[in-house]
Amino acid sequence: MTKTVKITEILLYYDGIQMFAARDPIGGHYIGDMIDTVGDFDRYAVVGVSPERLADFQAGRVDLRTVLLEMPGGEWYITMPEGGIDDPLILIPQSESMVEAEVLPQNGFFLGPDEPCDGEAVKRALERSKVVTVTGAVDLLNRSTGEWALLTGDGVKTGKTYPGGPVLDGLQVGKRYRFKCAEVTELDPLWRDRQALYLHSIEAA
Amino acid sequence: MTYREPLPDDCPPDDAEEITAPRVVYRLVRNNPPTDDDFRSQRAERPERAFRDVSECQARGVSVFASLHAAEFVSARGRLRGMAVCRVILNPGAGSILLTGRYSHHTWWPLADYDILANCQVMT
Repeated sequence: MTKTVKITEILLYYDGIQMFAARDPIGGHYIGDMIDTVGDFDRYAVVGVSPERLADFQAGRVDLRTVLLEMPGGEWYITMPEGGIDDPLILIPQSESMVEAEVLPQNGFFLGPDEPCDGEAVKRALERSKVVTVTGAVDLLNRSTGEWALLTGDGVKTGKTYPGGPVLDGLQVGKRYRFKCAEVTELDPLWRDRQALYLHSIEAA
Repeated sequence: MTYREPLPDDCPPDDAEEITAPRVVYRLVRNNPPTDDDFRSQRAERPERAFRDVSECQARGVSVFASLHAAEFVSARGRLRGMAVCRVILNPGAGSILLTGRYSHHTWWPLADYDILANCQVMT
């Protein structure tokens, strides 16, 4: 069966998408890293990654090579996005190792966290009643980056904490909570508006 | 104002900053010394490509970093491996610029009259 993923976040951009995070239809996480360009199209090496490890990478706690080498079952893929960012990417399984294919980056490629939300944007959103309540079981907690994910009836909802707001300490994965969140409009790297959820209060549900 | 490359309507976007005071950015270049080809937009590089993953406005700008560290980071990766980092001084009249990504990535829309090559130097 053909495996596909959709890009969820551009991790690094320079004259095109250099690195991205993606998810497959059943919620699995992936990292794609540009390896070269064929004709007009960029080629990416793609590996599966746990949500915790992806968060570690995005927070700069582990480098790209390490994450790629931890690929589950030694499986990795090549994709060449010929459509837009909203089209699924078709993953082509590779038989030789990433080492043999010479597609691994050198050691030491760490990403760092972006500038955190300063809390003022959350305050403005709350003043404008931009409030969203999300109820579900905790799917992901990253106490160091403040990122969280709740599994709701409408799928996985993700968000962040902000300086001066509630923290994730004491929450338990799998337990249900009601998160009241400020919905803040941010720009993604392609200048498209995206709605980010910043945690404002927590109740057990 | 006439830009170096033809731009679509509403480009640069309203929140782009017109450069009115000197600032330094970093661009990856293939040539040393750099040539005009090193400052071509993605659209100029790939005129037939459908950039459905990037706005046409961004595709007609030039990627630069405000951070040297970020430029060096990217210069060792994938198809950019081996490119040199060029320090570019943007003086008043250089055009417009906007922060468009993580790690200080900016898109720069140079004005046609701006002498880029006189204001850039490859880092050693």
